Amino acid sequence: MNLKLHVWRQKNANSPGRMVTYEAKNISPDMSFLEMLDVVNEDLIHRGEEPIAFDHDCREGICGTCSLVINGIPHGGFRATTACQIHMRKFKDGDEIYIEPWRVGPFPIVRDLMVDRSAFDRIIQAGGYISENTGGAPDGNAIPIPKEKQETAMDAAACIGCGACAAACKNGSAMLFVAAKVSHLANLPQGQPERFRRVLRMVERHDLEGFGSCTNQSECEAVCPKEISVKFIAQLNRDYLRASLMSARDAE
Amino acid sequence: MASATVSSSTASPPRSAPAMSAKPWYVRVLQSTVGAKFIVALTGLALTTFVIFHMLGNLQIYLGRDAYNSYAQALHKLGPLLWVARGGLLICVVVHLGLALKLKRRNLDARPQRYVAERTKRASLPSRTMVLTGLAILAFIILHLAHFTFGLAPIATTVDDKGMLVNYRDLVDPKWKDPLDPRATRHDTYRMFIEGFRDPVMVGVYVVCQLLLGMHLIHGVRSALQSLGINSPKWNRLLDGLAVGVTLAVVGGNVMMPVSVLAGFIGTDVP
Repeated sequence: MNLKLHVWRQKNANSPGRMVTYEAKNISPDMSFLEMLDVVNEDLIHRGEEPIAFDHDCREGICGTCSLVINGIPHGGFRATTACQIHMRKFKDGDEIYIEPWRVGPFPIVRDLMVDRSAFDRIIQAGGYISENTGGAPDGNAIPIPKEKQETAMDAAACIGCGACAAACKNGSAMLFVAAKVSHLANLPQGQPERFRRVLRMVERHDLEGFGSCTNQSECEAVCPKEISVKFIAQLNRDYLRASLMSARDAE
Repeated sequence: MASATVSSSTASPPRSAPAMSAKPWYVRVLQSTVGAKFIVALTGLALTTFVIFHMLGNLQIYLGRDAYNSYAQALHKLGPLLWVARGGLLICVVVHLGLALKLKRRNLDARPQRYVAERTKRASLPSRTMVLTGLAILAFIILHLAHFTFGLAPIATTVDDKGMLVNYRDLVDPKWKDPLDPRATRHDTYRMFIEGFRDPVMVGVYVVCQLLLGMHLIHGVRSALQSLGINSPKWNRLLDGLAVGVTLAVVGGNVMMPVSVLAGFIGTDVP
């Protein structure tokens, strides 16, 4: 199949970018979307042009590195699918495809389709962890955890931190990411000691990074490749309210 | 995320997260995106409650002149309490609007560049137009107050029995007599209501504004509950129903009344 690609090209964070049109020829429907881009890049290299820069790592939908906005929707809008897991059979011969980077202020563009997502790392540093003394390995089932709690925690923990939620949000908010990380730990016994400090700090960091505020449009949930539910944003809101009003010390 | 190749070259060096800011907790809460939304949600729900009772109270227009004027008279007899309520509503409007606009400014800044091929998967039209419908409601509130509360001359004037121009605010209930004070009169709110909605243009404006209010409420009520953390599989269907029910009741009731006047279903006793 042959396709027409409109790709965002930008030299670095400070230079202006623009859409450039490329022909993708002789693409097999069995190729993945990223393999299709590899073919286009091979062609560009042969012609002595600069290849299209894009983030990728595991190419099996679990690392959260690929970050393509395909036809206006992060990861292309296929249910529970990262960009790397899209196959070209989802497109038709002759299709025009728009490929853009995540566009949200706190993720500056590094080059072409690559963005700098270290804002998410700093949000995790602010509270997305538990503190634990090292020592002998504890017995696996020493702490009983109700099955429903454990499953809820795992649903939240499925977040791979790709940033599609923030990229899709009309308000540039990363609240689904923060909510997933907060809820993952808030539903487990190990997360309790730092539960309320965590939510306050992570929200504060989220705001400091310049992300927008959530207006409950659920666009994030619709594009999330791991189908993280906005019910976790409600949990974050509850925990934030409790932490703000009920915690004994002002610092928490 | 494996973005090691990225951060080593061009991106800013990783900053470690500093300690929490030293501001008092209530300042931090109000300045945070989540805390500000609590306030927007609470004031929004307060205003929604007002709108529900405003609609229910006005339905007494169907009971005729005496019932409706007695209702208006009872409200005015509240005296200082009425002003407390009005002040509370004004504060709710100012805080709701102020914080929402502040958050909107922030949200626009968070997205300096739009997508070339911008597309939407789930975000509803009402949810994406909250600021626009909100500002339209503000304009409507001003019009509504000028129309009936402050009696702005060009839109709040009619002709009395003697052919003289009279302001809506100066209409007198012809049937009512105070048994204790023969000189006492009361305002003919019923006639003001009927005359106010005999102009098709004005009714059209009211109906359009009520539809915009409906758009605001259908997203706002459910969104406010979510912002307050109320989201549970046990209750979600009920809460969805509540949001739809409140919206339909408010818009339905508020549209029905002016249309009934214009169509001549009520108010035939006013010449």
